[in-house]
Amino acid sequence: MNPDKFYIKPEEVEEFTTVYQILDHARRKYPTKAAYRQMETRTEESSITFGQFAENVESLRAALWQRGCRGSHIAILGETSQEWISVYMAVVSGVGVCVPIDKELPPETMVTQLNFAEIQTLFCSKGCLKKLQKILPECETLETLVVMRGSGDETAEGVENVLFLPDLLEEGRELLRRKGERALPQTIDPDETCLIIYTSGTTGANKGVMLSNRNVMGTLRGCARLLHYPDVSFSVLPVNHSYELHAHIMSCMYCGTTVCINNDLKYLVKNLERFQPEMSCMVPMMLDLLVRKMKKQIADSGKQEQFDRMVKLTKALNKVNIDVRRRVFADVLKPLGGKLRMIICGGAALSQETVDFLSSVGVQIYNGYGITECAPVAAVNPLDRARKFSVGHLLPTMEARIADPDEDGNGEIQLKGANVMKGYFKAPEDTLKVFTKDGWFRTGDIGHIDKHNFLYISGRLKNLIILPNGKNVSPEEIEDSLRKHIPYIKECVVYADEQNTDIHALCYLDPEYRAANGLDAEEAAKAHMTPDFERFNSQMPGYKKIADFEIVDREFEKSTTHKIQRFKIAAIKN
Amino acid sequence: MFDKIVDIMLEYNNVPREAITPETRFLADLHMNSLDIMDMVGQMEEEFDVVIATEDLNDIFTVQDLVNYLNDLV
Repeated sequence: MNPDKFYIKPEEVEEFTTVYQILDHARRKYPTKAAYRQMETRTEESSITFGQFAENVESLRAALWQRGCRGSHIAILGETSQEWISVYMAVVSGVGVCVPIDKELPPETMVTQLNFAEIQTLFCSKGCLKKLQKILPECETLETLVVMRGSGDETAEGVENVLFLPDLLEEGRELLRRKGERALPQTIDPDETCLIIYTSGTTGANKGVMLSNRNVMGTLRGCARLLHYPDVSFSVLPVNHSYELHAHIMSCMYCGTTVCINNDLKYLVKNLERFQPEMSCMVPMMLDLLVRKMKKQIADSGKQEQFDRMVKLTKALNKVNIDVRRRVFADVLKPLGGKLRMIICGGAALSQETVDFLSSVGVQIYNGYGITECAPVAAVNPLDRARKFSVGHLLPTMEARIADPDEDGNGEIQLKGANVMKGYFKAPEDTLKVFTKDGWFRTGDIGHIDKHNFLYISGRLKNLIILPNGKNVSPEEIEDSLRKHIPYIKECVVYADEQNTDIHALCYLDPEYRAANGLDAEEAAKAHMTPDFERFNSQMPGYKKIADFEIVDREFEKSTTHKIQRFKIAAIKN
Repeated sequence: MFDKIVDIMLEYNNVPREAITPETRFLADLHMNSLDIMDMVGQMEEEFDVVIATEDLNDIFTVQDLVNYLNDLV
């Protein structure tokens, strides 16, 4: 089969090499359509059209360019907002190097990242300024602070210039009126570094990934050929993460999709009802919450039996291509706003039960495979043709190969193509380590590719346990099997002892299951799980058997992208 | 106040009503995850018509802490 059959017809985007071309495309194609909707107070929202948004970006480009920010490093720190996105667009469009900072980080880490990236200008939201205020004088290279979404009376100790975004926009507008095009950068080099994104640090210290416009466009062009973005989408993940920024927000700009911005996780459900999106990108924890709410609503309405009957009926009808799920379950879909039909989900393991429930009521979950070093998407499941257990079809902008495959075809996934980063900022040795001599990027992930270019991941090379008999064991693969075999395990981490002779597991059990089955005491929980654990072991080959398990009382510590920080657990246990 | 708070909390926990006391801890006893807590806070805001600052949550560990905090706000 020709893999090209999975690609949507190539469009204009094929020719684009800079993010600015996406903005220009949106301004011409959808000038009066809402680009962003966001909450200004608890009850009031604002919106901006693609035309107005592009005008703001041009004004900012002019103001920054004329203030001499050429090639300088400019950081953005704040909640997702159209202002945040406009600063990003302006900086990467020929002005300088944009460095997004995670607002969830402790202030000390923020300062470390700002200093490492040699930041001269910081765009900071009012909320984040409060958090950073005390240690701002420690930002060695910082000269200018621009307050976004502030009230206009903010001050910042130890910073030479404090500006406000609306003033900077006005300054840019004036420059454009006087000088026209001459106020703007004349060229945008698609291969120059325009972005430094810090990795989330699931395996250790954060590294600054240097990306160019061509790298970012690799993701945007690839996603445009595998996915179709609907009319209205909903942004809930942090904008500083490459996945949300590029695979969601920027791709929506190309498709003319209105992005509605969630202002706070407190209002997730309320905002879903307000904005009624058709699509969103989420992490499993969010889906679990939404599913629980939907199930509760069914139970409270006293229609559980009717619901179960209708699921069976709609499933049968679906088999003969009659899909009435969304009509039949219109009431059930209300907590999701009523129109949500497509969720791209990643970041952690998602339970099959959640996927099945959402699918039964007409909401499809799609996954993909991304890594910050690839701007970040390398593969994504095409709409309507997703393959179970695969993380998606390779993007047309990427090539992949499997290094040293084992008997099952699994080996390290190595990538080449438009998306692959230029290197790590100020870390040439780390950069050398992740590229092979013939120029392939070593992802550190283990998996295989099928003949139709669908990618399957079985684990992380860095986490690989090499047993004394030479057998390689991927802890993620065992964790995945263990969770499937014992569904009441909510999270687990498999690790080897110091001598690498035995494999052990730490399990965090579903607290509701524990409460419902009288397993609050650790001994009771352990006794309950032991027979299931033994059955699991009996089905595993010798070298994949788990010697012992422990029950932990709370969820594992995670990074800001909700990934378990495995290296911390391994350090404690050994 | 306490009863209303417990009503909302029960939506997130499969525990009997009498198991929730003023000393009950959200994380250690009820094992609520961060998103559940945020969603619950959103519901509390609506119920009591207040705004709960996210950073204030760092000092709220037990049901009684929340009762005291909301009493101060209302």
